[in-house]
Amino acid sequence: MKRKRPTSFYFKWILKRYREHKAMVLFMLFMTILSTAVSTVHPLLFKYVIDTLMKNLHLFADGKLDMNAIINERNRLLFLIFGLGIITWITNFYPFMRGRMNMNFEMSLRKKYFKIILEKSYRFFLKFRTGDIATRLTEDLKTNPPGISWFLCSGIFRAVNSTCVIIFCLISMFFLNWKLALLSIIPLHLMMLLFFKLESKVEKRFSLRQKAVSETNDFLESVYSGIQIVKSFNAQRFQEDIFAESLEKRKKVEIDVVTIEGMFHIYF
Amino acid sequence: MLVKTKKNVSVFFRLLPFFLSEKKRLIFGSFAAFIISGTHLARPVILRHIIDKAIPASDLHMAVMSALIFIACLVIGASVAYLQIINLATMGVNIITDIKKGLFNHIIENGMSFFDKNQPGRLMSRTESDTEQLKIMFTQSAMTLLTSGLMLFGILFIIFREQPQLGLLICFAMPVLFTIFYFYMNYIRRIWWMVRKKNSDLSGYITEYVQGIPILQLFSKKNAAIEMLEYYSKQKYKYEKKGLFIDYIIFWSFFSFISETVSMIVIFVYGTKKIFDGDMSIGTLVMFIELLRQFFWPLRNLIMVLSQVQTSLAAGSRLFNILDTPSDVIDDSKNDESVSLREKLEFKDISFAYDKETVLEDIDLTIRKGQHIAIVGPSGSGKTTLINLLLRFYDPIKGEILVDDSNIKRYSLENWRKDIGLVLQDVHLFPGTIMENLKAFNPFIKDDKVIQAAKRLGSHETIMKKPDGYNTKLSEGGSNLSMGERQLISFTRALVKDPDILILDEATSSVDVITENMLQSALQRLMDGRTAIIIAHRLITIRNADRILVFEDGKIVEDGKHDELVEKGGLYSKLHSIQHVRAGEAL
Ligand SMILES: Nc1ncnc2c1ncn2[C@@H]1O[C@H](COP(=O)(O)OP(=O)(O)OP(=O)(O)O)[C@@H](O)[C@H]1O
Ligand SMILES: [Mg+2]
Repeated sequence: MKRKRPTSFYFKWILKRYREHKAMVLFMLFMTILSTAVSTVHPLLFKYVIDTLMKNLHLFADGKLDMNAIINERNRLLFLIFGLGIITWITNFYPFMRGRMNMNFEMSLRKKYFKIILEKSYRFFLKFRTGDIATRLTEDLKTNPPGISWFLCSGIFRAVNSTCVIIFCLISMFFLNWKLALLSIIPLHLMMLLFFKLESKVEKRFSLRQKAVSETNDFLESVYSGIQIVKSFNAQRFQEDIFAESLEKRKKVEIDVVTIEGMFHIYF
Repeated sequence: MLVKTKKNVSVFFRLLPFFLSEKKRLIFGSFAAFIISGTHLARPVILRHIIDKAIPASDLHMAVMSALIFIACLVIGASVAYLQIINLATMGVNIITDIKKGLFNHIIENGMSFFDKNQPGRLMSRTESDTEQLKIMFTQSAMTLLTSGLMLFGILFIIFREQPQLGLLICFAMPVLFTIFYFYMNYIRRIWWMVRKKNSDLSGYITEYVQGIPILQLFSKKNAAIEMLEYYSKQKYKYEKKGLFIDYIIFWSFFSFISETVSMIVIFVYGTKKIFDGDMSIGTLVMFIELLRQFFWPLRNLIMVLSQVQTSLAAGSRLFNILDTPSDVIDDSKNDESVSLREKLEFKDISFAYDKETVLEDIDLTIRKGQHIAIVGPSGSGKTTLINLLLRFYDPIKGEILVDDSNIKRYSLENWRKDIGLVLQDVHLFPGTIMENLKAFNPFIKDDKVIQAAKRLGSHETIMKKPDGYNTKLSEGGSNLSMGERQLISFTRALVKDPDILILDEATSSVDVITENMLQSALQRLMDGRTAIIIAHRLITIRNADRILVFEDGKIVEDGKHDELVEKGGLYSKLHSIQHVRAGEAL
């Protein structure tokens, strides 16, 4: 029964949602770029501060600069650090905005679909179970992953953010030292390659784990709710064996996931 | 608060042995924690070396060497961290698997009243979510505690060695920061708890309303429904926004301002003053800035872990609550004598109450071998309770149940239940194949025996029509079978067991007439030659019983054959006439 829709359908759907909150989306985009810019400026500033300090000390040692001038210079550097600190502080509001927008999406989407469901005919309710409908309106819309409201704002803007980070990093690396930057592009490519190779594997292992977990849950549900049958058939011991066996199998699945997930933690 | 802490401590000590069962991994983990924090700490020191020694001396060899050591530190740190992740995951999974097994075994060996008090959903979250919560404590929390502690200690050590004054300052600042963090974590946790609560209110509201929508439409109260939805949504929104605001705008942005900007300014002012006085090198300043940057994160992690550990310990205490509940039906008989009904089954002066209210009162009943007894009576009159006692799901509070003059408590639970087949209205099939279900997962039963039983009962053809025959996998609760098929399977399951005594609790309602006829004849074959107790609301299905008992308010009020009871004009004849009329209406 599942209809597969073209990707463009989803794009259009997302764009439509964005149009409803145009100002906010544009503002978020601006904030994304600003916060990435600021975070890439950090190491640059650090380097500048240390370089200046060193240069001035050399000048002082050579007698070309007096103490007052050095202290003035230092105060200027302090001022720079402070200024960037303040801007950083402001950009730190950004996750809050992301979160709030998630919430706005959640509210408006829920209302919209609740209204639609209210208009449905009796047949609709025969076809879809109450639990399923409720899940669509709550779990699926929620503001943390993998809810749709989360995806609409945080999910997408996080992706924008990471892309910005890579671009800004490359730019600033060229600025610092273009040879090094070129060198670092090579491992970046390798990493991308590795990433895509790993990704499909990760997906497979994750879904295996997901399956194992829901199998455990199904099993537990059926044993606990059918306990009379289990007991009357003296099947406790056999159920215990089955559970133990499935947990042993799940061990491997869980560790498989961590083995590969750990790589992401370390490298990316 | 104090009581809670005490409880947490005792839970912690009870959990400790589980840790120790994984000694090798624990040792490796601690060792790895040392290496990881060591390589972290080495980096700023090497940086200083490069800036202070290699660069001024223009010593390329030394610079390259230092850089190589720096990279080596990175690589070693990352590799060990990776091994550590796997090590911890394995350790956690091993420990938690043992706990899960033990818990599950304890739960299903418990008496039925335990299951009355704990709904399946609750037991599931004990066995699955709470244990997973504990796993976090065994893995991430434990090692974060160790690694972060080591890091903090190392940073302090280096700073003290270089600049004791600065070290002292940090020593004073630390408890303050720690306290602020700790109280903050507890505060924000409460807000997030409220968000979750409001969210479940919202879900509850939605579920309730979706169920009632056809009626809502009838009375066109749609606007009110939408308004209520808005209300619940806003409630959640309010708390979530508050949480987000406090967390990000007030706390974390302030925290990062302090940890990144303010601390850097302090160090910078302090450092440059020392440098201008000739007491410090630029390399040392860079090292300090780096160290300070590393300082705040372990501190933050430590507090996060403390808050996480509280959650884990709460889960742990829920688990121990279950593990500490002994089974109330005591299987004290080590007697492995098997049971077989030779003459009669006797309920002698039985009374029973689930809680306070008496459900069965002074029941006296003798059933001869081979008799088919039917039990009827209004809902709640205690019919199911009687067979619950027979199966020893509960023990009577007064009186005894005798099989051929010996109390059933004399036999082991297992042997006693071996002699009884139970067929319930709610068929209950388990995930697995049809074959496994028919064997009730007993691997010692041969396939042949199962197939023979199916043929005898007349379910063989039905099963063979399924895609994989006996090996057809049943999806959740057997939803890929029809109602009638499910009942047929449950009859076969009872027949495979081949018991002396058969119990049916309203086994043949909720199917259509044709299926019911088919099931009836299967049932006759199942009961053939057995002692049977049949509970049914529909009198038609029990007309052929040797004897009919009528229950009312926990007592047997009528006892006899169908025709006798109809003639008598009591409760049975009333029930009988009502059902006759209903049947007429339905036609
Ligand atoms: N697990 C339980 N815990 C507490 N009270 C119970 C439990 N099971 C049944 N009762 C109560 O005991 C009384 C008898 O219940 P029982 O299930 O024996 O009735 P019944 O005759 O089988 O009814 P029905 O025809 O509806 O199945 C009822 O008042 C019921 O509320
Ligand atoms: Mg009943």
